[in-house]
This record gives sequence, C-alpha cells and structure tokens, in this order.
Amino acid sequence: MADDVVQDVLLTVHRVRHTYQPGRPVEPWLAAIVARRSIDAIRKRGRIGRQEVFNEVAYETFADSCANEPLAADASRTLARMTEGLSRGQKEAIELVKIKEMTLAEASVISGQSIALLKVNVHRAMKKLRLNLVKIPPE
Amino acid sequence: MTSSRVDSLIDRLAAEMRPVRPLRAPPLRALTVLAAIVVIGLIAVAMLGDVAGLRERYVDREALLALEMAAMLATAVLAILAAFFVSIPGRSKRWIAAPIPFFALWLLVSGLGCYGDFVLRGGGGWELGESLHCLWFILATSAVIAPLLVWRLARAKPIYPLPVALLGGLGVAASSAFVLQFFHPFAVTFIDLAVHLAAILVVVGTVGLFNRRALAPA
Repeated sequence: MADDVVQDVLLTVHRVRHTYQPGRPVEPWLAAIVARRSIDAIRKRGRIGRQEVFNEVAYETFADSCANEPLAADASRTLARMTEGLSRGQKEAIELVKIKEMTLAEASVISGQSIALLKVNVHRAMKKLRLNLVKIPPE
Repeated sequence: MTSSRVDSLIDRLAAEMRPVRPLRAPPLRALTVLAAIVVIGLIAVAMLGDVAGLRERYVDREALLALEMAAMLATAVLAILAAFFVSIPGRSKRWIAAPIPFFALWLLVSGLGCYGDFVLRGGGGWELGESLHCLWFILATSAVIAPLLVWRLARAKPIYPLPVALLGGLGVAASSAFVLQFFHPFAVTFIDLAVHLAAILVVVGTVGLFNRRALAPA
C-alpha cells in the first residue's frame, strides 16, 4: 500500500505542480499532498473492503488444483445459479468486458450495444452476480 | 517495462516539457473574483435596486443595518479568500474557520433585527408569501456567481475539494444575500430569515455535493 501511495503522490505532484508558489518552502506543500494521498488510500481500502464478498469455501476448495476436480460440477452449478436472472445483454457485456477483457469500444463494436449501455449492463450484472453469490448457502 | 523503454519514455516526456506557469498568490486570485462579483452586483443594483427603499426600511436603525451588511460582506470576502487558500496544498487549514465568526454575527444581527421589527410592529410577518422571492433571488444570483467562482477555484485542482467547495458555496451565498439587501421589499422577519438561511444551505449543500465534479481534483 505504501508503494501505491508513493506512486500516487508522484502523479499528484506532477498534476498540481502549478500550485507550488516559487519562493515558499516546499516541505509543507509536499507534506500536505502526501498526507492527503495517504488518507485517500486508507479510505479507498475501506471502501473496496466493504464491497468484497468473502467466500470461505473458495479458499478451502480452489486453492489446491486437485481439489477442484470433484467440485468442478458443483462450481459450474454455482456459476449457473449466479448467472441466473441475467439478461442476454448483461451476459454478453460481462463476457466481453470482464472475461475477455475487451475495451468498451471493442465490445461495443462486437455486441452492437452502445458504450453507455455496456456500462449499465456490466454494472447491473455485477450487482446481480454479487447478490446471487451471497444468496447461495455454502454446501 | 525494460529499462530502454523507460529511458525512451523519459526522453519523450522530457522533450515535451513546457514551462509551468505557477498560479498567482491566493489573495490576488480571490480579488479578481471578488471584483467580478462586485461588477455583477453593481449592474444588478443599478438596473433593479431600490436603495431609497433600503434606507427607509432601516430608518433609525442605520447602525444595525451597517453591522449586518458588514458581517455579510466579511463572510463573503473571507469565505472566498479562504477557499482560494485552502485549495493550495500546504496552506493553513485555519482559513476554514475564518468566515465562521462573521457568519455567526450576521445571523445574530439579522435575528436581532427581526426581533426589533417584531417588537416595533407587533405580530404578523409570519407568512411565507414574499419570502419566496428572496429564496429565488438568492438561488438565481448564486447560479450566476457560483460557476464563475468554481471555474477559478478549479484551476488549482484542489487535492481535498470538499472544504474548498463548502467555503466557496458560503462565499457565493453570502455575496448573493448581500446583493439581496438592495432589493429587499421589507425589513427582515423571522420567517424571512429562515428562508434566507435555507437558501444559503441549499447553495452551500449543492456546491458541496458536486465538489468532485465541479472542482476536478487532481
């Protein structure tokens, strides 16, 4: 995390370098940027942490590659239940943008969905996937 | 990234370097915005204002009026000045508190004015009617001033935009309320004061709510 903050501070220094007034001490200026970016990093971590779903079973079963085989059928069933209720457009958006990792522009050309629609579909699909995952009781 | 690619990237970036023009000192930048607000206010007052009416309403209470207007003006100037200071990294955070005593004084004096008016003329003045004009006036004037101020504040790409936006909002609302004094059709009543306060909160809240979008922080 400290490395991220350093990177962020360097970028910020570059972006706001015009706010430094020549002749004034550099240290308070830089210290304020470092302090701000550190706070931002901590907040970001908290925000992301709240969004994550902790799946205990995933660690037990999927960490070891052999362990996956008997559960593969189960996993596909879980996946099927998670994707239940997704519209065709949402499935397509997830597949192109998240699984095949295309840019929105590329995905838009292939699917025929506009970029705005793709964004909406990805957002709604992610929300639904997350909800469906939480709803599934650990077997 | 391999080191040769890093080197070429650095070379390319260095070749594209432009001299940086530092922002001018915050008081200077605040002054230009305040001057623009004064011009807008003067035009509005010259076209639509009612200065004689203003005097009449506060006859025998000139000191109170002067104090109230001075407090408004101090709130506006200090809030805008503070917004420019706080938008620069490393400047004192105490600027955030600068307009607050004058804001409190303004509310206090307005409240006293209301009370005096109430004692003088007895009941009444509790109707909303006319006060709605004040609400619209403050909001409309703010809608003219706010984009101007936000545009200037955004130049600094403030790394922590919320206090900058809130101070800016207070400055805008106080300026609008100051200009409103020249149009006000009657002395301030309690309900009217509440409406003014509501308008101020709406302006500060709106600017505060859109702080990230409006100020384009780095």
